[in-house]
Amino acid sequence: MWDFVAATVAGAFAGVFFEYYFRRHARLISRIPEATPAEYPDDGDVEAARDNAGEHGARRSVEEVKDP
Amino acid sequence: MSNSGLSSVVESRRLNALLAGTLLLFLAIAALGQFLDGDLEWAGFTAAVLAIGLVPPVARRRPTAMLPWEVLSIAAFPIVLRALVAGETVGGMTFSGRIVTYVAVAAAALLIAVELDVFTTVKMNHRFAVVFVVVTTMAASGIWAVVRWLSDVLVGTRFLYDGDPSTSSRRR
Repeated sequence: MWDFVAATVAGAFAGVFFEYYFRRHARLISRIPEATPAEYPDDGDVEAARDNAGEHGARRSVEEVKDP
Repeated sequence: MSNSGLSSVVESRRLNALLAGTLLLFLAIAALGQFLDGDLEWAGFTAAVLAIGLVPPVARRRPTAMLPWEVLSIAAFPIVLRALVAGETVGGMTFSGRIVTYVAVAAAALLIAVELDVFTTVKMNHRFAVVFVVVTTMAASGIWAVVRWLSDVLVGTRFLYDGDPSTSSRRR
């Protein structure tokens, strides 16, 4: 029973980390060419971000493209 | 984020694929080592993490379709940590590696969440993303317990049941 409670607490930390790092700051779309743009609300913004991405990654984030 | 040399290195596609591939290779070696060592429970868990990590490159048939190296290192961390601390005694206290198990299960759930978020068209809003990882962790924890129980019943291992009928009912 306590194992499940502890795992749930660990999961809560993992969830916050997932949202704040992997979805907001890691800019995965620039380094994983096969990534789908589903995490972004507007596909047009993602295409603009892709256009600005070179071999070594995006030079401008999606937020910057939205509001240059 | 600034346009520094460090960010360009961190965001390099080739570097990500290389680091992720190295971590997957490490997981494969760790699973084999644990299996040969007789630690079937963790060998199975490590093999499951390896299988989850291999899904994107196998499904897309491209070596660059790797998960971010950060999430794979988070998944590999508990496996390394357990190998280092389990059974060690510090100041009269023996580490069982139990806390590492919780971290490992949460890391596996994080792996699945990142995989769905990056490689599928699943859309999650911010709150649901957090709740999704929590629920996936709970699900992974439940599956882990069921797999251990099935192994005890079908294969005769002693992961949950220690062989003493008088203690099996009191443990829960």
